[in-house]
Amino acid sequence: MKSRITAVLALVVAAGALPYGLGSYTIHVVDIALIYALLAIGMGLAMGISGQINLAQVAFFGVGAYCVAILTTNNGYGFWAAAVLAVLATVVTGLLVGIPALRMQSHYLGIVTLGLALGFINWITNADISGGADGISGVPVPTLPGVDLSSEYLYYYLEAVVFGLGLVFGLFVVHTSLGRRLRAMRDDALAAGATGAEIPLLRMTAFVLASLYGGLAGILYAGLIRYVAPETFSLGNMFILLAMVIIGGRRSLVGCVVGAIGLTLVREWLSDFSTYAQLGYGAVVVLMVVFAPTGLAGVPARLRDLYRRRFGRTSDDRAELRPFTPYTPGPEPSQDGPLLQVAEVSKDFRGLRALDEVSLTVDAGEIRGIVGPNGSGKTTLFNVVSGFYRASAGTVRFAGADTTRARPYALSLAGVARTFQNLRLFGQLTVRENILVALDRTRTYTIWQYALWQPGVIRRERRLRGAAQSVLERYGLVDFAEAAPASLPYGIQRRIEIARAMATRPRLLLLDEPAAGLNGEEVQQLVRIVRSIRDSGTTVVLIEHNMGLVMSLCEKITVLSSGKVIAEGTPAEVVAAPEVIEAYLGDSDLSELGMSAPPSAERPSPAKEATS
Amino acid sequence: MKADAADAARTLKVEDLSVHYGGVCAVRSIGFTVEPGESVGIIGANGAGKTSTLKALMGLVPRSGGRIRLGDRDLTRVRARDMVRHGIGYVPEGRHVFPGLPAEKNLLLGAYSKPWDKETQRQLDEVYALFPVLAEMRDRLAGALSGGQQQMLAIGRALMSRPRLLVLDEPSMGLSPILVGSILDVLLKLREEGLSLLLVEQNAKLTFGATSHCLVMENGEVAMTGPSADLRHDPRVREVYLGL
Repeated sequence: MKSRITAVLALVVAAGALPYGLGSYTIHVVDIALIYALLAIGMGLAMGISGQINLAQVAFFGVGAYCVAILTTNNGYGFWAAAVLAVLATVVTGLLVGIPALRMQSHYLGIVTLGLALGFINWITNADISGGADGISGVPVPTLPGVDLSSEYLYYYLEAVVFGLGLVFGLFVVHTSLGRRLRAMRDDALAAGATGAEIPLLRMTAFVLASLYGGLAGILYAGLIRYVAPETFSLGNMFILLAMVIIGGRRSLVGCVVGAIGLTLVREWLSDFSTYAQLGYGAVVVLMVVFAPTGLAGVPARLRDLYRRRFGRTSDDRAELRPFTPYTPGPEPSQDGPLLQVAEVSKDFRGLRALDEVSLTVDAGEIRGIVGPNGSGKTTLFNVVSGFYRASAGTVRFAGADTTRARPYALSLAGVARTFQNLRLFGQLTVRENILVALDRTRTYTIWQYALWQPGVIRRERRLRGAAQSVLERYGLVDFAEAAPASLPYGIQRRIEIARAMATRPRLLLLDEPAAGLNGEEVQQLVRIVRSIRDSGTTVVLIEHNMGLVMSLCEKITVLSSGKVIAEGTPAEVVAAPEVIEAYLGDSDLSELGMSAPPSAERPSPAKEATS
Repeated sequence: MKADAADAARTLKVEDLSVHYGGVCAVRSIGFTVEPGESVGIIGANGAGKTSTLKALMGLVPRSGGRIRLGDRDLTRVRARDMVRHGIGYVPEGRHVFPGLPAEKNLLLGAYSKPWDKETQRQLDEVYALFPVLAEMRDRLAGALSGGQQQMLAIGRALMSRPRLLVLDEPSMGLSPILVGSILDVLLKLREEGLSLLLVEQNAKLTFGATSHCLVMENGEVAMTGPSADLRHDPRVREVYLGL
């Protein structure tokens, strides 16, 4: 920590002393480099952090610069008044450009944003108000009492301050709740929705952030060059900007900055060979994507890995899954009506009926098992209940309210949490961050705090981190807190899924095959975890093929087959039903399924004990 | 005599196999053999190194040490994509079918390493005979198949390369009891046909039903080995690994 502060201080001092050693042309190049660095931070926030392909960053840059130029030369505004209006105009543009992201993603979004950027370039080249191809000259020097900003040396300090604040704000966003949600959305939008993230608003936020940085860069550009023309905002420059972000490392803002400054300097050196310069950028981008997909920012970690593999001492302290600490039993849930009511729900997929008038009622405090052959519609039912699918017919009621058409984030905030059969952890986040995303129960509108009340963000962050530590400890995951989930064995990922779902403090927990890939001892631990979760006051519905687990945990079992409920009752009733044996169990030897030994004898009737 | 020579050519011998992730040792110089026609199971807790062992065997994760021989051939330096040419078929954990391709195309991709000939068609018919449901679903996209059908597809795909050794990582995961039963039947049928099996599995029924010999892994090492019939009655194995 101390060395880090020293390093930052040294950088600040170096940045302050920099102009003293530079000629007048070099300082101009540095000024340009800082403007590109701001643009690159905006790109990084949209593309690298939020996963929104944004090829309209030059348009945001242009809107900022042109607004200042037009308002000062045409409408007689002062520079700073024009600058404020320019920021507003850019952010509005950002919102408009972001609208397509609500409907499409990945390369489709790239094409659309690129098209919008092209439209902007055509417009400024042809419109009268923007001075056509000649552009607008005569932008006034920004006024600052006592400082002559027409000097590029002094302008450097203005830029350095804006850039410094911009970088710090960007890093602040990335490492606190908003940035974590954006990154979670990038890794898995569906799972992020299931943990309460409002995906459409977050996508718009990503574009607002990108446009904010684009606008600031445009204003600084107008004040520095005092002349704007279409060629600055060309697609060629968009490509270079993209190259900066990819070479630097799009997932790291510092990487973006390094890429931007580095490439601007390289471009200056290469300006005598402009014919080959573009070719060179192209080649470098290709090489980076192939050999260092995480960009320059990822190189240190890759080297460290390589070093460890080659020379590292093999540590004997293997990370291990610690035992689960039970919850303190909560109060008996108040019994005013069922918690979940699924009434005659059907779901059709292009002629295939996955669910056929399924009805199911789960009382508060119950552990309900759902079994059935593969392909019988169990996961589809979960998807309908958790808002991923909309039922073709029928209604779903949760805690008395009609939630048939509710979105996943709304259901998450209302108290429905789920795990995923095929594991949907946020792959680029650490285990701790996976938990933090789920712990954050705020709505997206609270991001106003980022603009106006940062201490509120910090305070919330501190609270969340404390809570995350106790979730990690409770689930025995502390050894894996900083690990990437994908590097962990299946069984541990399954436990993280449960911890993440429980971090949302749900009233209803849907577990989709929680025992898949667990061995006998681990299944026993799972039984204890699920019991404890129920005793803490959370109702549990679980899909499982491990009949030993289902028999020992569930008071009631619902059997689905071909999208229909074919049986419902106590475990003993269900396994004896001939249609269940025929469709599901087959001639299974029950002792081999682990049914002979009651896995946990210490709590014969946990629901009763929970009240004491 | 001739048969013996062919048999010797199929013994899988793994020696001193180690895997490290970063500085952490996941598998620590383990060794085992799979004799021709033998079926070996690996059991152990999550994180014990079972999947890493299989992946390292297949060359899917870098090995930090060890030698692999199949009969008289040294496979230590053979790349993952060439393992199949040496007669080792692999069914990965979590199925990994190609979801955007029809079931039959998935199967045919399994025969990618072989020339397309009458033999391929015969092999395809054999897979369909083994899994009649796949024949019904041959034109359905693999991603639209149920979990159990995808698992059969993954096994069928591995069989398409006509392997002499089939490596399976948790084939029962996510399958209903009735389907676990049919996977067991299929594995037994394959054994009868002389295929060697190497099986990582959590399901007791499948592990002891399909294998003749088992390794118990713990913290990256082999903690116990023995005939499956003996381990099946070992109280510690029953309790810790199988929950029986």
